[in-house]
Amino acid sequence: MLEVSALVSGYGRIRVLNRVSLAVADGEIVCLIGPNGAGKTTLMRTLAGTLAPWEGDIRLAGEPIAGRRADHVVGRGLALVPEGRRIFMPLTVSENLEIGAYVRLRAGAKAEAQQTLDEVLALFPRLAERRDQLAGTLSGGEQQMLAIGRALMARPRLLLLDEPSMGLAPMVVSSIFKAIASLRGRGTTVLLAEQNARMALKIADRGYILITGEIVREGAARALLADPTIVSTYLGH
Amino acid sequence: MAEPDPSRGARRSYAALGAVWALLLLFPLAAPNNFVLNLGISWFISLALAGSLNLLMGYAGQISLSHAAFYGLGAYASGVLSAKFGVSPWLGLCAAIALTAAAAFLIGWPSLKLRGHYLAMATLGFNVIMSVMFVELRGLTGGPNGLVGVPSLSLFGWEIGADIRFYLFAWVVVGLMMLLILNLLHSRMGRALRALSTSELAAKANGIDVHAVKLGVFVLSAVMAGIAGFLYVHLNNFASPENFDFVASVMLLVVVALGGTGTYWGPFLGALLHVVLPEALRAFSDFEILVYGISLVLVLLFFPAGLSGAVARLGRLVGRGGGR
Repeated sequence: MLEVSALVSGYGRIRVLNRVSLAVADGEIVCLIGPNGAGKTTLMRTLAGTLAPWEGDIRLAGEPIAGRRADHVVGRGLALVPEGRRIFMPLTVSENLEIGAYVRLRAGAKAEAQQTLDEVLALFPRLAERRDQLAGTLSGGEQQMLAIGRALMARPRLLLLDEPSMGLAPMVVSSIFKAIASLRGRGTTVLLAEQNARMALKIADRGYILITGEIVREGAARALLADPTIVSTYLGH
Repeated sequence: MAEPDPSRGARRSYAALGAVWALLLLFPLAAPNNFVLNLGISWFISLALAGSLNLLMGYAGQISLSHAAFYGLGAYASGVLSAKFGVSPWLGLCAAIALTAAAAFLIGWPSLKLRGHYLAMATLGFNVIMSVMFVELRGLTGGPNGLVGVPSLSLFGWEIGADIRFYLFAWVVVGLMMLLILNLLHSRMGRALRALSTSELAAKANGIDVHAVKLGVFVLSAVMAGIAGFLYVHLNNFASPENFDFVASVMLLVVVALGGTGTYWGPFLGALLHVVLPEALRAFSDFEILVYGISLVLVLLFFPAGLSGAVARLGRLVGRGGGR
């Protein structure tokens, strides 16, 4: 589904990613773990096209998308749930979700978008209850559900999630991760960037460990969780 | 079971616009003289300016400091062509639209690539340049004395003079503009505008071509200001540079802020103040500008959401009282 090779990216003259290579197969949930400042968000933004790569190749289902604009990448089937949620606070929940389907509605796929809306509201019933409310009035967990739901409205083949657990209570995090795990059954491939490594590895098939812009380890999620050096060095507590 | 109808709000807005516009047809009957009627025409022109600026500023979150320059460009384009070259004002209208669109595109394309206040800076510069041109291109514009001898409009041999005829003409033209803005706001594009003013990153990540949408709305609002200039110059048969300078652009920002940015009805109230306040304050003669300034500060202090916000708050209070 996704193949990244020797990707270099950064901001201005600051190089953040140093020849990152990774792959996500169809239907997999892959997590990307690493501390603050490792480059997880930079990688996510470069993949989604909101940041242009300096070097390297990104292929989505075989098609090169490196350097393509974000709106094009969304149209090709990749949607990003940005770090910090970034929902549209002054708009209603329904309007936020409709914007998620922007590219599809522009192409005239109104009936299909309506069907996806029903699926998203079934996945997050809280959003259905609050659909006419302004998004800014939602709780943190509901806002995260809205951000995920909004990205799902594009009906992506690959969903990128950037720190969905950020700033949320443990109870809320586990319900959000349950929803993410349930995407596996719906044919959506997931790449998940997380600091909450233990939680992420529990729902993932495989994991990559990113430290200061380089992939230092990769492997099956279960193996990473079982490795004592990994646990003590990267997973902390 | 009742499903909330997403288009209910939209339908209410269209009905309200229809009602307001129908009521405006009665204004000429109530106007005691031509002077008051002309205030009505000025209100239409102010509304076109404030409404188009609000689309850019209130909804898309982009600050333009050259709305008056586009207004002037439209006025001078059609005014100069018809007064100096005998071109039909209707061709002048086409020139006004083409020139304002081209100028907005050239300024907007590079400055809207960047986030932040680049558009404000670029438009500030543009307004200063245009002011110099209006004054210095004496041969064409008449310089600081103004452009005189601009013909009135005529349609199928009927002259549209500065009375009830022009009122009806402005009623149609500005009505179409306000309908277009309402349509836009209730479309996919309108949601995209409000989205990108909240978070450009999230708007991009959701597939909105942020640069194209911002540029499109900037060009559209400039063209609407140009059309307002066309109305102005053929109403007054005259144009003068000081109506289109940087101060006039800032005044338009204030008008939008006073009415209530990002609300559809804000510009209606803002334009009303823009037209009525200077007349009402005429009694203060030399102190007029002082009283004007103080009243602006007071409104913004006590009603930060603008007059439409104040009206909405009053409506809620009355509604709550009546509900008991």
